[in-house]
Amino acid sequence: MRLLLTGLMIGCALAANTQPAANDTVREPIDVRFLFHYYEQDGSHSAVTGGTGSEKLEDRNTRIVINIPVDSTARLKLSGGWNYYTSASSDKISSISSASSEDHRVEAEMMYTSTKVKHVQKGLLMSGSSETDYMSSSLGILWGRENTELTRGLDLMLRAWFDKWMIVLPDELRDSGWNHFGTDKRRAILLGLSYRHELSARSVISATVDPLVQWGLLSTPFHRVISADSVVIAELLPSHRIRVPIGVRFYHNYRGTLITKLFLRLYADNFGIRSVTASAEPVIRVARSFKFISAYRFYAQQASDYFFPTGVVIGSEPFRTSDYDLSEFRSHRTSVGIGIEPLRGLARFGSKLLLSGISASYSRYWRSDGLHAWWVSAEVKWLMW
Amino acid sequence: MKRLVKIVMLALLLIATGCTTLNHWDRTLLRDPEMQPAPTPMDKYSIGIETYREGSSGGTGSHNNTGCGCY
Repeated sequence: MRLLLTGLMIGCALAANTQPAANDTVREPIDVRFLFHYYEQDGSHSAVTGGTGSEKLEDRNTRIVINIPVDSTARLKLSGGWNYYTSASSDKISSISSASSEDHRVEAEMMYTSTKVKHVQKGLLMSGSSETDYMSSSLGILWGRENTELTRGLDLMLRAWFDKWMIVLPDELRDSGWNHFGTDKRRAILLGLSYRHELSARSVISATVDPLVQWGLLSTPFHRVISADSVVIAELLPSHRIRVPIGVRFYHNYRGTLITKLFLRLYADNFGIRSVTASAEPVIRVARSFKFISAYRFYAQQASDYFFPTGVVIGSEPFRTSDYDLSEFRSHRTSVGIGIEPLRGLARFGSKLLLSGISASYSRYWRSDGLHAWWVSAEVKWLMW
Repeated sequence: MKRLVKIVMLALLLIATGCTTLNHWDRTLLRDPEMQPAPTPMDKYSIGIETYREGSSGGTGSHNNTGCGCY
């Protein structure tokens, strides 16, 4: 009997040594994603030349997104990006110099989230970006809560942007001393509210309402407007803008092979823009590790109260723009893509590094005013231990 | 447009007051990364382009559009 008890005690002690402690968890990997994008567009309504002229543009964008599990409850997400673009319209800011025909932009973002209290997430985020004539920085706080069954979740976000322009006027206005902008700062506050609800074992719906209030210099200083008497004047927009979008997503998963993603958004702002966006994105899982993505997006917009086509506006009009991004139009986008992510990854490099998956997509976009664009995107996903 | 807003609001109200209880083994299809409503890093680039080329923004769950977007 004594021998049996001793054996049981030794067995228990060995088991305690070989099994992980109750609070030990399997160490999560660091998720690292490299993203590459190439974008090209053309059109004939450049806002820099008053609603006429080439809108040809090329953009090359590289980005890295790193998700670090700090511990079992906290996550740190770091992302950084760089893009280089050449623009035929920006080239026309000055008729003498071509310095504005190309530019670089760098950006970085950091987000820390913690779920120390079960089902409650809290977080902080900050970001910044810089290009030749524009600096932007932002701060934000996040709060989220899920019900105990995890079928519903509510997320709140409060975020503020502190941006600054370096005012560059079109060369016709530089010597006149004209500057009615009043400030070179742009500020914004966003209150984001998202609600997610699992309707069944196959479908989920979410709604997002994120009103944004902007103030300061909301015009683009180097945008020209050509008046009815053919005089070049500067774009001028009100110094306050309130934007209210409501977006609803409905996702349905049919037996793990066909995932249908539907999106509807309604939008209104005090510039007079009203818009509706609808998109459908079927994702077909050909195999567990391979998916085929396709998407169609439709967008229709009513013109801003301050939009005037070239040569229409009277010079005394207090607010005016010939930026066709604010005109009445409809746009369409189609996308196709693939994603490969096998359960055990694509390639393993030692015990610390795994090439987890790759995905790529191609999109075409066209607008009823003649602007058309296409872009390709690629993502390479790594896991590190 | 107003009618569309009313329909969307009514649909949201009906959905929000619905009731579902799911077990862990029922959630396999919901755990698929494609079923997460937040946009992926790949989606965010397209959302950024559409924000720059259109007069509307927001409602997508992506708020990382810093910079003027005036090119």
